[in-house]
Amino acid sequence: MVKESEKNVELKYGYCRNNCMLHCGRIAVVRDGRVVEIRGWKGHPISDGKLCAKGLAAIDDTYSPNRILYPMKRVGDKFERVSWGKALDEIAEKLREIRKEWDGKPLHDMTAEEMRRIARYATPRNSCGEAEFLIYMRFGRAFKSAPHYSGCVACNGNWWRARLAVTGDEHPVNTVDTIVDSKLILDFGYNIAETAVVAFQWIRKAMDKGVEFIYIDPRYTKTAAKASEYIPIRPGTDGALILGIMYVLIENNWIYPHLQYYVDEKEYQDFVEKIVKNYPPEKVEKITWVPAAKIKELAQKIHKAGRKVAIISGSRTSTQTNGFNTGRLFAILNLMIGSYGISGGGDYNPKPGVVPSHYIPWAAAAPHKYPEFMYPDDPHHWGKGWVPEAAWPKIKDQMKAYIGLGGNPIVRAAGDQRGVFEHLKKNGLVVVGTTEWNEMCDYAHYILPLTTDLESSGSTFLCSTNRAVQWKDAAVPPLGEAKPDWWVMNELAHRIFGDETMFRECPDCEKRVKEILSQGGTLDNAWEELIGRYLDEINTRLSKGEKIDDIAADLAKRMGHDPSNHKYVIRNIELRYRLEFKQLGEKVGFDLDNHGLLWPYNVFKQGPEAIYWYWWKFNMILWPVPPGSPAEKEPEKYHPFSGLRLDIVKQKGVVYFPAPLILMEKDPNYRGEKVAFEKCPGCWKKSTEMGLPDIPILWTPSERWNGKTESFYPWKAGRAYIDLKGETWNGASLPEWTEPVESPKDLSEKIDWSEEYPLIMTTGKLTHLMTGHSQNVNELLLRIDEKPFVWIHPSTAEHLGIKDGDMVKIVTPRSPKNDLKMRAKLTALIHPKVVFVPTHTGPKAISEDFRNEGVMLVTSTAEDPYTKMIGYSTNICRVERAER
Amino acid sequence: MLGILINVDECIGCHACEVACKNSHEFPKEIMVQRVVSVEEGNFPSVKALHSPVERCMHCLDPACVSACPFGAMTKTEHGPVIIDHEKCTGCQLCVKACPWHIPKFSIETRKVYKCDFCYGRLQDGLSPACVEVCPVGALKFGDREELLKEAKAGKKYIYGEVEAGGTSLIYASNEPLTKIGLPKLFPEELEILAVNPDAQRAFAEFRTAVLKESKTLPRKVKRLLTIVAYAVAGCEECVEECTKEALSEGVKRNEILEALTVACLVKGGSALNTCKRAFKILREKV
Repeated sequence: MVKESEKNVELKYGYCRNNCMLHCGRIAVVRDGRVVEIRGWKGHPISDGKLCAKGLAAIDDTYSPNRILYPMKRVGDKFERVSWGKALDEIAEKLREIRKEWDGKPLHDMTAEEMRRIARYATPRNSCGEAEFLIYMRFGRAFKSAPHYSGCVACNGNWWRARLAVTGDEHPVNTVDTIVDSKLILDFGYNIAETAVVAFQWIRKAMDKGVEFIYIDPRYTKTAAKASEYIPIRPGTDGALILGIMYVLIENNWIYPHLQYYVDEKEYQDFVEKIVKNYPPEKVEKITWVPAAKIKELAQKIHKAGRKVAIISGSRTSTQTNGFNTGRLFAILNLMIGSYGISGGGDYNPKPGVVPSHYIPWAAAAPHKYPEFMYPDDPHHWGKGWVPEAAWPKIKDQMKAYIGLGGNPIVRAAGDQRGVFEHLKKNGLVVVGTTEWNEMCDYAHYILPLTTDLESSGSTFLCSTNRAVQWKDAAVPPLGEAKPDWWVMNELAHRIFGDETMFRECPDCEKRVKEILSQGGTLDNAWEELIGRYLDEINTRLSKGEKIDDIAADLAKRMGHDPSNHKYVIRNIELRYRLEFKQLGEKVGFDLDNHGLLWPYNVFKQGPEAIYWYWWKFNMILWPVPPGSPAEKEPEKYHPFSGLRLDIVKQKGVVYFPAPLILMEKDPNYRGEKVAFEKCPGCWKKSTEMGLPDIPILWTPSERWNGKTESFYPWKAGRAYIDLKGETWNGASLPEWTEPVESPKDLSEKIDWSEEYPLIMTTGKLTHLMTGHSQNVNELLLRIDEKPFVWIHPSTAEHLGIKDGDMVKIVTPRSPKNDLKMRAKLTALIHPKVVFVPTHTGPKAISEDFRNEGVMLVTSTAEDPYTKMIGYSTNICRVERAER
Repeated sequence: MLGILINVDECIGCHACEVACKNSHEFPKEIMVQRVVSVEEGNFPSVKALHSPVERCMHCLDPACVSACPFGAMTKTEHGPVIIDHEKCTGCQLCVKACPWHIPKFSIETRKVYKCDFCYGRLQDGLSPACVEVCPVGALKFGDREELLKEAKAGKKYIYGEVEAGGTSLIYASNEPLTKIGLPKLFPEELEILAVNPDAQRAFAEFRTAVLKESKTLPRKVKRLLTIVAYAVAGCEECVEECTKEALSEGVKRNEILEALTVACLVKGGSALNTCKRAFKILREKV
């Protein structure tokens, strides 16, 4: 026990980034440079002083005897220690070689195959922070590295894309503490008590006020044990249940009376007649195993609760082949009951697991205002190059290198990743950043030591609970030679892109730059010649309403450059605003001018705070910092974009995004929007202030985007424009429910033992196993809670001759090539037809009970047809006794 | 008198208390002084699950471990926590034997025993125990024992620790019987008769404890020997057996019991010996 009164004790305030994305307030107690205690932060809006076992075990991650603390290079079958300089130089050299294969081509002219040369693992969860994580995105865009696997996207890609498609906001959650205002909470499989533990206190508080908490899941989890009611359901059928509820609501006309503000009447009628009418409760009972009477009862309870129905939906509603449409159905249900835009109603996911690597909350805005910046991880942005991770085996011959700073596709990604990495190990380059030895290391050519949560400074933004912006100082300096991931990325990129400029998208321009430099000129001269001297003209013509591409084409003609390439130079904000950045930088003491170089070579010499200043340059997120703006005038005070008070954030505070400057100035206590959809993103007014009734203000545009009007202003026409037909989303059509790609032939609750795969396998997490670098190697966490065994109902086990603790084989259509052996846990907490296999185990776990090949070896690789997200959590299988 | 109340029905089995406890003490690596269990019952979907921290020191009001420790390493502090002075602990493990739940954990590494200390150090600094502070759902409460008991009895059907082993500072409360999470019944079975009158049952248990309590006049060991002799004279085989077992577990020596029984023979002759048949069996085994 550490006493604060001791002289050499320091308290480091921040948030926990150790495992899940709740981002609880956390105090690290440091004595003599060592973290000796982890404490909760009382009053923190997410955690209010509480922490979970995983967060508390952060010390064991940091000081684990299993840490890798220096860079290593493969020499035959062994690894040798090398210096950072040598490792980075060699990796950069190899990447440069790979780039030569498409060099000379502007990135936008690359073929699909060329885009697949370099694969990445990139997710905010394994990065020091979210702003910091954007380095990956920048690197990926510079390389056009299309195949990138992200654990967060795999789990939640459908969830947030569906919200984006319907509401225009991928993260439309109210802050978790406001759930105490609800009148009814429906939770579809979000196992909060085990995976967002600290957030459960808010559910508890709501229940103490008398709010009913209904939990729907194939498995009786620890959350089920505390629910007011538990409703079992067949895996992958949540969408059908929603449709059944909609059927009853429509039948009784229990529908929000303001739908005309959101949907086209004809489309809505089509939806009701062609889709919903096919899901009467009696039919839904057969699909979902939820009794018809229960479905009617749910609809009744929803109606009684009015607008304040909080709907929570977990990752397993997303990781389905029907996940995108299921997500859309959730959002549309919210619309139909009017639950958005009010405290206690709407989407309430504690950690939405969103990966707004694009960070474009106003979805309509950025792609149209700044067409060169879209969603970097969106398959339709990468277009031809991108495939989901489960399809990496198909393109492995095109892959030449993998850079993964954190992450573990071998045990986390669906598909034959072992085959992919075996191939890359023999024929390419595998760079693995990690804190401890894991399954990826067997395939690595270079192993780079990364810092743990307690050793990293970094930010949260949007990905975390409550859309909270937070800052964390590192509690202790990095151990050994460990480095933050953003440092590694920057060092690599500088070595690779060092001499390239941002004019490379136009080969004619880049050629001219090189000429000028070789003749003794400077980059300043090059910039002036190629764009600087045209800036006045460009700005004048833009203000007259001309389009940027037309201006660019005209300039190209005059310069004798190819217009199809030159437009990317003229579109480039970093080049057009170069002088403003320079001036801003001079004021704040950061060198924001990188002279048109492709990689900001000097940014990280200024520390992680500098990332904020470059953030919006990296990914043009919302709106730029206009010269003369408060953010430009007082840069220590204001976050460079969106006008958030960085000084507040760093002062042990939490700010909810969005938090417009204008409101912060009016009210010093204003910390951002707690309730989603209360204000219009175009004018920041409430509906009643715009002459409308008190209705939620969604973030979809006023009308469908069309090239003629180029309008995206939300609510300009006094309504949103929900694309129910799904035109703007790859022809998704009206939202519908479809059977998961893998289902038994007999869909009833009875098991047909004559089927080859008579059982349904579902996946999920146990309390103490979460993502992070150090899966299965945290010696403390391994000792608590249950072992990762496969849950089988006793009657099912009896039929198969399996006893509790027996070693069994889980056989799926991926067998016999891939087999999974695990011990069995007999439990009555799961439906007899369903087995549950916990994720996050792997062959390198230090404890034998946690050692197996990992469930993703046998999960389905089938894609959601609209988003290509993998539906890996509903599978068919059979279970057999096995000898070890 | 301080206490901790565990509201078993609130516990979500998250193990935060387990980790917080481990991290706020300098226990040897292999030692954890509590663990969180999960138990299930019923058949799908009419199932129930209970979770709770268990196997942690009960901080008895009259701790058997304190009596048993020959080296004075165990102390019952003024406000309730029972703490170990590790300088004095030799690892003899008599406390483990004496404890009705065999709680103290022996470390092979240090050759000493460890158990919950109520976060005694934190209490000195005006903080609450780590487990209480960290619980995300407030399933653990800390405060005055009597207040906590009052609160528990008002809301819950089953209480554990009010009278068990003479009353403990750690109290469990639930609307489910606490045997479900593995807390053993400690009453001799005949007290179940009094269960129809819980006040009587409580009063009897308290009386029993009060009579057998260590005092300045008569040490606990002597009282144990007296009960054995009294039951031998009264002719109750079972009682002699039970009391012999209890005495042995508290460190009373075999030859001390045997010599006491000679007094029984003085009073009741051969029939006393007969009554002691079962006790003799145990005394032979325990050698």
